[in-house]
Amino acid sequence: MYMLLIFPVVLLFLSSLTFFSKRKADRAHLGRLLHFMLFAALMLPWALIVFSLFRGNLENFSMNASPLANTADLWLLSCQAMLALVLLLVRAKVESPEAWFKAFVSAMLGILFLVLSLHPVLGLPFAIDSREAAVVSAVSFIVGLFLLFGLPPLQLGVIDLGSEKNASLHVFLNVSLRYCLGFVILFTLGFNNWVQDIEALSFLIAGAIFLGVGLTRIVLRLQTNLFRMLSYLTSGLALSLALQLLFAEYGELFFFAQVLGLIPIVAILNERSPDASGGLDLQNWANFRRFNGEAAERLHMGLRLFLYLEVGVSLATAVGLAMKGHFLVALTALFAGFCAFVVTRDKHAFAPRLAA
Amino acid sequence: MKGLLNIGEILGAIVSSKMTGDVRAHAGWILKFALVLTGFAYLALRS
Repeated sequence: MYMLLIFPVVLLFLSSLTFFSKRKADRAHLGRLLHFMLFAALMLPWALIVFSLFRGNLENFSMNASPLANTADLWLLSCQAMLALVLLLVRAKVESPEAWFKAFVSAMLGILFLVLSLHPVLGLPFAIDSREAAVVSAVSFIVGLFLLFGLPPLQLGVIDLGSEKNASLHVFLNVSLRYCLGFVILFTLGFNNWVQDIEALSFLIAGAIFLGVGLTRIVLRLQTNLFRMLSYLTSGLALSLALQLLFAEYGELFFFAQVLGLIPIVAILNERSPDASGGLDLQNWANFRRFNGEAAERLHMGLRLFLYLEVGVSLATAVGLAMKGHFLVALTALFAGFCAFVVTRDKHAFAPRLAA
Repeated sequence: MKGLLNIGEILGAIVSSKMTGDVRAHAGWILKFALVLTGFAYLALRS
């Protein structure tokens, strides 16, 4: 229940950070109206969940009676409307139509896969009770997550937008949108019996997420563009969904801890850049370090904290899984933790690589 | 009006398959990934 109270506050925080952005090197701010519309689109799922709760379903508020079931169409529409609005509104600001189109394909297919799997009424495990339904549902959940959270090998749709110039846009696409989706998924997982319906496959889903997040950490340290790095970093929010599948409740806690860890990183990325930059591309790590030495140091520290949190949770999950006897999934969790740890120890991370 | 024009432009691009290479390859990856995962999921459920 506390998720419902915290969600709008944290989103307000994230949103206000982009609203008061002072980066002069960016072409321009998002307009005030556009900004407000993006924020309203991201608040839609929360508003609809609260609306459905106050419609008189409070007495059935338990694990097996989803308060969303009565307003399932609204759930579906709010998710799709949110994505479509965000993507259509930002289209005017994006320079490369092909990159945007690829992101659009990723988002739309991702949400369709997610609806097929998780929608309180249309979702396959709720509509059909068979082994095949469980398999298709688990697979669509994984594919949907990989597309929406930009996990390899399906990350390209989202990552291609990384070279765009508008910082506020990146925060909306990479942080707020994923936070919002994570909230909707965690809420739906918490208030219906989806996990029990596909219990045998929940380990496969968690394992796939751990492997995907581990792969993002391997490529994270090679990024020289700040916003591509941000995109790969926020892919880690998918980890809390895996945790929620394995150990309910802990996923939600970890999710909020991760978002709190992201706030300083987003704040630093929004800082004022010096006028002395001489028109250089400040989205590049090397230039950012040169002109914003202190901010770059703090950004590194924020990144390390975020990643150490991930390492700790991955290792704890691996131990918990090993104690339960699921050694293969424990190994994937260990892999995710190890990959995140390597990034924190790499002294040459985010530095430009010289061609051999 | 601008939004409508945008949507028209997107639909036009899809119909005339102007944006082929990259987007089509991306969709191909998604399909292959889903197929391989389905195989794994069946195996996991059987064992």
